[in-house]
Amino acid sequence: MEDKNSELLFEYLRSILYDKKIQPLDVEQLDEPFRKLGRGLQYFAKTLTETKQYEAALSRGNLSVQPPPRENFLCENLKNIHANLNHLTWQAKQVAKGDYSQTVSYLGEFSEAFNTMTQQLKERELKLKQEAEREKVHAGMVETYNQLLVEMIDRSEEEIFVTSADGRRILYCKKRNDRSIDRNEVYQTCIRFAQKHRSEESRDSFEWIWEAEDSRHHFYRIITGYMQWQGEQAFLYIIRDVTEEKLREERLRMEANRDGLTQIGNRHYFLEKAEDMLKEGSNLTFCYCDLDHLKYINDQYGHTEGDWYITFFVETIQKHIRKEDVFARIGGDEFCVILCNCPYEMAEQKIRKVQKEFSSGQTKEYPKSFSCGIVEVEGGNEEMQVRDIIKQADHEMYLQKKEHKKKYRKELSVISISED
Amino acid sequence: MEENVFMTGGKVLTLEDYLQYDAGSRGNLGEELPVMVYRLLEYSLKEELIGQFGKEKQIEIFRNAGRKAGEYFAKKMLNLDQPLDQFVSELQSKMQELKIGVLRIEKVDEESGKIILNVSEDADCSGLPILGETVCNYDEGFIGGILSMYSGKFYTAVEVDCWATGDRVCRFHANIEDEK
Repeated sequence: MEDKNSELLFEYLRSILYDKKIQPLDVEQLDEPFRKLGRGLQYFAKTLTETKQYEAALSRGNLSVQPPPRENFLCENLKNIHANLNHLTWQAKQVAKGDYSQTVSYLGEFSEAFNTMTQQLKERELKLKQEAEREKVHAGMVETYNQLLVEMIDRSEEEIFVTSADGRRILYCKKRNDRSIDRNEVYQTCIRFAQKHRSEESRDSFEWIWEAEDSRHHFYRIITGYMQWQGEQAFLYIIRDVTEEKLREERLRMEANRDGLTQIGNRHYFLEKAEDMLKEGSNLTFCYCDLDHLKYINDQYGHTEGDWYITFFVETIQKHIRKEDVFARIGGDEFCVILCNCPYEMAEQKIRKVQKEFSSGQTKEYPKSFSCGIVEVEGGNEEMQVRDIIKQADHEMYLQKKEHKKKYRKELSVISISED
Repeated sequence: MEENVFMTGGKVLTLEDYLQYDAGSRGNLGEELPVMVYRLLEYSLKEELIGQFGKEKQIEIFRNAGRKAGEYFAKKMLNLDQPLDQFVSELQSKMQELKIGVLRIEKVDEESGKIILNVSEDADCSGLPILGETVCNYDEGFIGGILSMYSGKFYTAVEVDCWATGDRVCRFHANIEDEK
């Protein structure tokens, strides 16, 4: 009898422990002293089944599973795990929403890992916020500078033009008008410039300052350099119309070289020109002229008359010289003519002719004359300096001057010519 | 004996007044008491109240007292002007700091306001033998009081699982109710 009861109970216990589906126990088959134990085992089987189902659901991540009833004490730790998982789910949702103040307590290593994670997220968020704030300030500054730059570009008279490094694409143009780009000769020149220089190496250090002229004879000064345009190599051109500047420079240069009264070259111009001509090695004849008794005319008739005297002299000379000859006023009453490829004798004849014409033209109360010293310099004479030539010509001129003094002494009886 | 005129007409002390005690008065023993002493007070009082007024009344008194304490606690020790998640986080750490229990939120239904939370190592009940019924009525009131004070709505909390029912945590369902 005992064997049968033990066998039934043992078999039931085995089924509880190992069978997927527990084989039921018929308590009625047990003898009376064992029935209580049998009912106890049935209750155990029920609670164990509930517990297994519960843990299976939890192991699948089903957190909405209904826990077994309170009477099932086998589940107490599972319910605790369930509660903790629910709590962690909630915590994770809060973290996902950006609440990094969440902490987990008393869950061993997980607490440490979770709290470290939220702490790090908090620190990173703070860093990102600070960085974002810095970026915002930076962006604000960039925006301001950008506005300033745009304003400066708009107000600038300089053209800004950017092409790709091969010159095939126009990346920026202040005027932003394709038609005007096509028509604009300077832009086209820039594009050709890019195409010419595209293969050059060490681009970062390259910058060119060059000038261009268009068909309307407008001059442009162009600064060209390599730059990065949205990640690609490009040419930047800053184009300034320097036509006015050029004309002004030319005017100034001319004025610096010109005698104000006669509009012929001045001493500076003469010296520069003479040096150049000597260097070129042409045959030159220097005619150093000095107006006679200019002081007398100034004193007697006033400076206006004196100016007329000078101008008349200049006009007379100009009638007899060629385009390639040089004529300059190198002092108050001193002038010099450089005749190119004109031998001494021919020059002497020419001067005599001029002297005659000057004396006879435009009748005045006073005599009109000038003295002249002539020096011929053969081409290739590199030893001769302008200073020496003038000195020599001056000496020659002085000889004639002495004659003229004698000649006009009577006419100019009141004032001594020598004071000139 | 003659009447002590200094003691007549005195003000009736409130909960707040009682809690303004002089911390230095326990210079040697300090701030903390063993859980056993806390429970001694709680359960002796409970027994006496049941004895005098019956169980239902005892539960009601405990809940109401807990609510008062919860309201005071929320008002005095928590920042009520912060989002729910941050408020809960602060409540959690404050309850831990004061060794009331380890609070864990399981679910919050933002639409209905329903909150499921649990408290482990609860000062009132952890380690109690299985009695087959929940016992943390004071905690129910305490949680209801805190949530009411924070939300401005009348919250009630019901304990659904407890040490005394064989669980390892006390689980509460808190709901917004029509104010009574």
